[in-house]
Amino acid sequence: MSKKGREDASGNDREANDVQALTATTIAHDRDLVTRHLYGDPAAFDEVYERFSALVFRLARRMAGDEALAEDLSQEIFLRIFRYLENFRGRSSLETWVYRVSINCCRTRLGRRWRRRRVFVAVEDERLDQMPAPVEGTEARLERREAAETVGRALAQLPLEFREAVVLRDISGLAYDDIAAVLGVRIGTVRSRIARGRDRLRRLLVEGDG
Amino acid sequence: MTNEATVELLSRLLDGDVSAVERERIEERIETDAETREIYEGLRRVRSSLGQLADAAPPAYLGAMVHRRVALEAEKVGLRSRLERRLHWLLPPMLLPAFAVVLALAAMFYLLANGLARYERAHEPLILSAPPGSARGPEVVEIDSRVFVREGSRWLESDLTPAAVATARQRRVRPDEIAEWARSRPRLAALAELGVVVVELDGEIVELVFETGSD
Repeated sequence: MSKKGREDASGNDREANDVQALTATTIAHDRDLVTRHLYGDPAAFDEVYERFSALVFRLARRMAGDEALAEDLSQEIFLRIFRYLENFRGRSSLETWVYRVSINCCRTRLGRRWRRRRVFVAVEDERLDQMPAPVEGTEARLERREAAETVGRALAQLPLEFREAVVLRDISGLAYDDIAAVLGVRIGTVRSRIARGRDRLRRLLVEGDG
Repeated sequence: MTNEATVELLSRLLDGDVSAVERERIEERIETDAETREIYEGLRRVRSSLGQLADAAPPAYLGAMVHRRVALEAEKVGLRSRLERRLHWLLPPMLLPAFAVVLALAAMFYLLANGLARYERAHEPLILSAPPGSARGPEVVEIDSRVFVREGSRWLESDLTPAAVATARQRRVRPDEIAEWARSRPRLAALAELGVVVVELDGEIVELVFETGSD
């Protein structure tokens, strides 16, 4: 092996070791947090809220489709986290566990709501193909923002199973295997749901045929 | 026509989740097929727009609301655990199953006793006393678990049908036979007190007329 090759290999090893060390530190910290919560340390839950409030709200906001329901959902999710944090066994990261609790809460709350709402609301006037080109500038940014909100409204119309996969991937930025762990499905199912969810959004926004 | 598998491949291409072979195949198709290219562009725009939704931030007051609900929950949990501790102090956990068994047995015994009492009360004959000053006696009497109802001057066994009563053979029972009755049928001897009574006796419906010494 050449000198450069040896350096690359040693760099990769270092990187892998760093990731491993970081994961171990996070897991240890998560366990410590749960133990403190079990022993009644109120600061432990405060820390959980600080760490995950943005993540939970973002997920709830896009799953629910409206701000008020998202706030309500976020409260319920944190209440569940508070109740069941003692059940966290550390088999996954605390973040994955929080995502799982959040998704289950959304399913419980939105499942019935979705089935009730059978009428598909097309957003024909606000089509994706009318989105402005990504030119910087206040006006362009506002327009892009508006177009993104249109996508957000369309997202709220997706069936729950597609919506949760798309939200976890494109908004929360989770990797496919993490999404599979959160949803409790195979990675192939995750790929399929994301693709079908995105495609439905595309059809809805471009063709308006839902 | 673009099928589901192609759409999935396009979606995976956006996420960089394709092998080198798959990438080459799908990129070539995007280049040569207008419909595939259009779908790919659409998916790319959807993904890009969704990415812009990632900055939703929780409102500042959400934290206070969450902490208030959590504090209420903690209070509830605290109250429950205090109650449990108190219960454990009164009743050691080891005795809980025995206590539960005793409680269940007591409940069963109560229900059984209560049910039996109700059943017995339901089968008690209604003894109607004559109004004060009236010459009439009771309207219903029970003799040895058989209920007799007054009808005019005679007593009918309550479960006899009217047709059977109408065809009842009359049998007069003399005073000396009554004494014999007291020996042979002590449980029915009290019928003699009623005077005339229609009863099923040895499988036959008979109207017994108990004669007194003065008859």
